[in-house]
Amino acid sequence: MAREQFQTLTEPMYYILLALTEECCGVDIMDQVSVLSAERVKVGPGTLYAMLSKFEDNNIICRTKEEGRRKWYCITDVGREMLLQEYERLQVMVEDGRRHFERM
Amino acid sequence: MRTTKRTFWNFQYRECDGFADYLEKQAEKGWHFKKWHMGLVFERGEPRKTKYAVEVFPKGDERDSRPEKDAREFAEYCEAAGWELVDGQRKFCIFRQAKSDAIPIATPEERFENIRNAERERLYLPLFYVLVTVLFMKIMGGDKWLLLFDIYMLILTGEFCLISIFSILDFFAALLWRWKIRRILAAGKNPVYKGTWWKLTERYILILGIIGMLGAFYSKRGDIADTIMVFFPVAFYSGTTALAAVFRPSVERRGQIYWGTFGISMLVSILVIFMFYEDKEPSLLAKQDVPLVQADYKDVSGQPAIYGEESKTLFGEKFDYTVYYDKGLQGTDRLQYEMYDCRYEWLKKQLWSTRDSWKMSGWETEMSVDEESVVECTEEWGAEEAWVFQLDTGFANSDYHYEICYPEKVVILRTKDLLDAEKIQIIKEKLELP
Repeated sequence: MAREQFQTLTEPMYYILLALTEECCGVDIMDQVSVLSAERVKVGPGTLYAMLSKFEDNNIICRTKEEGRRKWYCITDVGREMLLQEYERLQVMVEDGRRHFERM
Repeated sequence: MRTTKRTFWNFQYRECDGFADYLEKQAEKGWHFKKWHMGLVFERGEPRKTKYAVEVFPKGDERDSRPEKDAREFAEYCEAAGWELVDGQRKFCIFRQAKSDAIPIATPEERFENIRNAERERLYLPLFYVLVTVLFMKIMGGDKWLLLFDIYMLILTGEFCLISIFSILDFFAALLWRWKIRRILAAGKNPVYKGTWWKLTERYILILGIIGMLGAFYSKRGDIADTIMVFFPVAFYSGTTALAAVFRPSVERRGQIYWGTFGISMLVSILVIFMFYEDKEPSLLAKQDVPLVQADYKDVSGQPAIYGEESKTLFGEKFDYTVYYDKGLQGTDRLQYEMYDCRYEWLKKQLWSTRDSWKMSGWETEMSVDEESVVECTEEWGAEEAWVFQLDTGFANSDYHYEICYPEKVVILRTKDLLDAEKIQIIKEKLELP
């Protein structure tokens, strides 16, 4: 079911999951995304909060610990598989594009 | 010189940018938003440009009187992005920009989704209002034309209809609003959520509603059922709102507040019921207050007990009186008469067309019309149309029921006597019938 809802990941989704391949505090994810995308992608707090809720509800990420209002998350096996599939899909797309441009 | 001020502006979710604009304008005047407690509280300071963001928090609750756990967690993320939470209520979260490079809190699409979801009730409330109005009309049944002569019932009916009409219009306004915002988003632009004239209309509806309810309440204050129906919800709603505004209970304490208010409202309602219960017996009228008593057209002894009321609306005037004479062992002599003086002929026709329902209303709950007794008496009354028949009440002394129609006037009269020409003439004079 989770897979159907997140058939293709949006850019913020992809980077949030990428950031969560290592345990990370919710608040720090925004910085991580920024670092991973070399400042190209900025995830707003509203977007991040909504995404984390959706991911958690669909067992794509899980909460690892909670201290006060701060929560730590990590990607689950389901999420990791989804991320890898997205990575492969993007690679195929890039490869297809490369072949096309080389023929031109 | 005062250092704080409180304002009572009320914003809808679809006006969240208008809300932020308002706070920014106040900051420019030197009033900086401090908290949201019994209105918006501002503190005096140096006039400066301050950027505010008013967001609709999707996990918020309509009953939240302060930012709850989820909202505070959300605020942590916003703080990291350069926005400081000042305060919040319901689903509103009010942020002040703390860093010059603050990232926008949500994308335009997300904001639209949040606002749209928070105002979803605009799409189903019309159905509720229309159902309530239809149900009310259904309960009134054939008597609905008679409502037009009772000022308080007229206000209440008008209120039901008005709320239904405006809620239907608001339904279409909501659809139009969604369509417009979607178009703006599709064009890649950022929609701005400011105030609308429509909001003022909603306020007028609310004020009219309160006036209607109070009017109906006062008109029927002798009636226990009406007192409970009207007074309890008003007491409960006002009590809960007032307590939530003053104490701003947490989500954990909210239940206690609701149950406490429920208990207090019940107590107040019971007190009100008992106060009016003393007054429940309708007050007696004097002979000179009514146009007709049995003594005007026949020999009766003793003092009459007279009950009834009169009312006037823009549709016409109505009176309804019942006169009792105690005849000792022979029981009671009763006369009941209602007259509707219609300002409009069409209304009289409508009223007359519902006469089938009149037979079953009145003194006795169990009665039927003796079909053989139905006689036309138009000539005797010099009316457009007039009928008399006996109501079989299961007692030997049945009632005679008269239904008389004049231009712009309808009279319903119940008496223990079959009226002869002389009595009819007296009654006509007393009731000033043509």
